[in-house]
Amino acid sequence: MVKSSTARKLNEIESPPRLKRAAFGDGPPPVRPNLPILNNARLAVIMLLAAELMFFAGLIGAFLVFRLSATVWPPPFQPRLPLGVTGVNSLILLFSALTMHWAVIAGGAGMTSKLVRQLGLTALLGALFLFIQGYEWVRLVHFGLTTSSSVYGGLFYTLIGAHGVHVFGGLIWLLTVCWQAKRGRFTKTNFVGVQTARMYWTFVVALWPVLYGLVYLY
Amino acid sequence: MRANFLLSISFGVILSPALARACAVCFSGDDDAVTHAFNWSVGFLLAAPYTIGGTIATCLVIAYRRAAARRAALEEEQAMGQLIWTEEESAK
Repeated sequence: MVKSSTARKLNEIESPPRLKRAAFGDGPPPVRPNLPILNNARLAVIMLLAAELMFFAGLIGAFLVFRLSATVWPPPFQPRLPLGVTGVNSLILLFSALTMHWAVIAGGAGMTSKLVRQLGLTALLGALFLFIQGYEWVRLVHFGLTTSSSVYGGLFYTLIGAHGVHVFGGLIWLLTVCWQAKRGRFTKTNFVGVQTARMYWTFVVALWPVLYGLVYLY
Repeated sequence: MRANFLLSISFGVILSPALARACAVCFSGDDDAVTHAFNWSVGFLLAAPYTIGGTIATCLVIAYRRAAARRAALEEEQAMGQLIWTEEESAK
């Protein structure tokens, strides 16, 4: 018994692993690769975005109550919102989603310099959007629209301000990912950081036309 | 005695719900703008979780099917590789 086990052990050592595999089916089944269905980071971002969507749904629900119950909207003696400038600003934000998409394509192709450039451009467009929004806010406050001036002002600053905070958060996220990309953190096969940043940025961009339509146009 | 008292109060509240102020937003008529506003808002907030949950579930199903297709393609590729008769294997 001892001899046979010893002999088998020696035989196993001598034969390379490739030869142990049966050529036509007799032998152990091949090991199935355990591919994950969805990356854990992406799943976590999906959960985060679901919570964010419910947060904004609550704010939009509150807006609908006040907007639909009001006979005159905007209320009298309140400044009108700047539609044109904010419309152009919306186009800037929408274009940033396109540059973010190009960044993900560059990440998938392993083109690090293009990835950094597109991420930087996206962050720049996001910063420009925030700057124009801030400038318009200063003008609106100067014209008398504040959070305490009316329900209209309170709703406007709450909804648009919450979105602005999210854009700012996305901007920090983008700059972090851009810095990581510059340091060579991402490869052609592993760039999940860029993908999750794209998910969040797409959410922020896609939310804006809804808010613009509700608050500015409706 | 006390149970009968509480029971009679409960019964009275059931007969006259306006006394209990059971609905915090039922302060206007059916055709009032505020009522419509609340109805639309409540409807929107009721639909939101189902829409979000449904969208996420759909995304997960699509991701699962794609992963299954990738896995099947990989297994097929490995099986084809196994059928190739190499010189080393012929000497086994």
